[in-house]
Amino acid sequence: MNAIVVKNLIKDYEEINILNRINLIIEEGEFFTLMGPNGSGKSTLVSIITGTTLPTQGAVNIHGSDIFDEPNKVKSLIGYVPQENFTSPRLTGKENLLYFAQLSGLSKKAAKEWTKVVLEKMGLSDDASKLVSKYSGGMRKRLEVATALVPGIKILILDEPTTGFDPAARKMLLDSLLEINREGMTIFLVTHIGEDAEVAKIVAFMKNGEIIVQDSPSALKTKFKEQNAIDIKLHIRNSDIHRALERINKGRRVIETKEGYKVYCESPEEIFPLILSYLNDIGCSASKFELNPPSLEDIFFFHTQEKTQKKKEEEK
Amino acid sequence: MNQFFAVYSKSLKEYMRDKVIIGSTIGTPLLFIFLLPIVFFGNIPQDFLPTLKGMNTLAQITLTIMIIGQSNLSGSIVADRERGLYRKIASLPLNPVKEVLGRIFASLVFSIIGTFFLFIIGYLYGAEFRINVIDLIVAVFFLLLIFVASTGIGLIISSVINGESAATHLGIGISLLIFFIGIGIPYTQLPSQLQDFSRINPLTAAFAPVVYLLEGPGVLGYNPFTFVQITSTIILSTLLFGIGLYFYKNVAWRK
Repeated sequence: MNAIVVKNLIKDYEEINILNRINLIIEEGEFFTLMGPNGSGKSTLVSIITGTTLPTQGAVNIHGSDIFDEPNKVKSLIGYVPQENFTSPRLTGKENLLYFAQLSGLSKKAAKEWTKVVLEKMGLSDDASKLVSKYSGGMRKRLEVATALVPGIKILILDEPTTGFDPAARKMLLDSLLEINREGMTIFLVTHIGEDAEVAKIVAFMKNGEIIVQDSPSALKTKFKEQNAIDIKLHIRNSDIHRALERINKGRRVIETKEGYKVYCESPEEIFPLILSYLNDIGCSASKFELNPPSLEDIFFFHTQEKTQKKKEEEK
Repeated sequence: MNQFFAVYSKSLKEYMRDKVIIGSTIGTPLLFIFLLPIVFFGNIPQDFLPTLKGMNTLAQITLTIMIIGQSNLSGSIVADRERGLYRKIASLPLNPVKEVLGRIFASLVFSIIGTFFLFIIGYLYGAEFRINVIDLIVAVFFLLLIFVASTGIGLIISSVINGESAATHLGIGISLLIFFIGIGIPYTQLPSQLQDFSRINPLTAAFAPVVYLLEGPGVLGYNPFTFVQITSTIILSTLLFGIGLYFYKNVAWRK
């Protein structure tokens, strides 16, 4: 069964087209990730799916029910975790969960029982009686995910939940999401962090209100395997080296990293000796060369660049 | 009812756990109960002092109720909106009216707690009240009207103002402005234009019967129990509340 079906969704706001004929099918139990830069329309799409914004045109079905015809039925199937820290800092973790459980329609008794279970599940039992103002960012986000796991919820929608997290907190949250997904929950994760998208079964890239590509992470990597990256670790970085690397790479993408440069190329065996020779000529030795397959972020960048390029050419 | 009580419980806990809210809402009027008699009542004959202290205590109770409705309520709504709570609860099968009634009920309970506390402190400090059951019930009715009108103003503020600090300060500003026109400064001391205004403004017009009933007819300076004043006070208070609810449901909830 399909968990989410979006058909020909259009959203215009003050003559600006925010969503342009979005079509999307997410199967029940799927871990779906939506990636896109700021302003690409991700949050608008989510707000329409969660029933908080009306589209200009199109339909959204959740487990067979139309979101606009049966809003309350659909809302009781969706657990939504907005990007902001929406839990009350002046309540304890447990009190926050009780509040959201009762708002979702549970009786006080059922809410109390559920709270115990979900605190345990999210690893927050020991901190249940602490005020949320004393929680770390990671703990607070896990609590906020917990608020969306009330009984009856079949789809969990999260809007950039790991923004600003350290790697350990991010891993902990993603592990929790994978665990929840294994139990059968459909997950719709919105992110702009490539590493977060790696855990999904299906990844979609969004740009300028359109879904430009959609596939599994492994299929995307196979499709774009020619976009390898040579990581060069250098102790000197300047604009001359940057320009020279771009020239060697025939104008393809070269980015400066914390430790040196990243050169994206289709044929590393051709480029590599040229880079080595250039660095020898200028008396600069690289402490490390590494050839890496493309990450989802790299693929996303290439794909959106290509789209932008095509659009510009069409406009010309 | 679960949703209503969930919101009520959350809101009341937030009020009671916030030292700044307790300080500005109950602490400041408490200070005025002690301070104003020392500053302003120096030349007052001793036998009239308990009545003035009683009037001052009632004024401070009214100030507390106004601050809760206009500042605390609006500030808490805007703070919740700023941190994305409305984005979350809009995705739940929840009726905005049930949600706001929970908030209002929490503000009412907080007002009752503040009122009892200030009343007892005022009484212990020497305030005198003429209490009989009927007058007390009628006075409580008018205090409720003050709460209803203040809540309406608070809901309007929370709908049109962005920023917790701005909403809170605007609420306090309006409360103090109203306080000095017919509540803190007695009716008899006001210029004639402001006397007229204080008989139209539902907050000051509802305060007048409270003083009239609990401190005696001579203290207020006029009889507020006229058909026009009582009717207009009830209508304007409920109208403010209705406008507030409309704004909350159609503006604040959708912002």
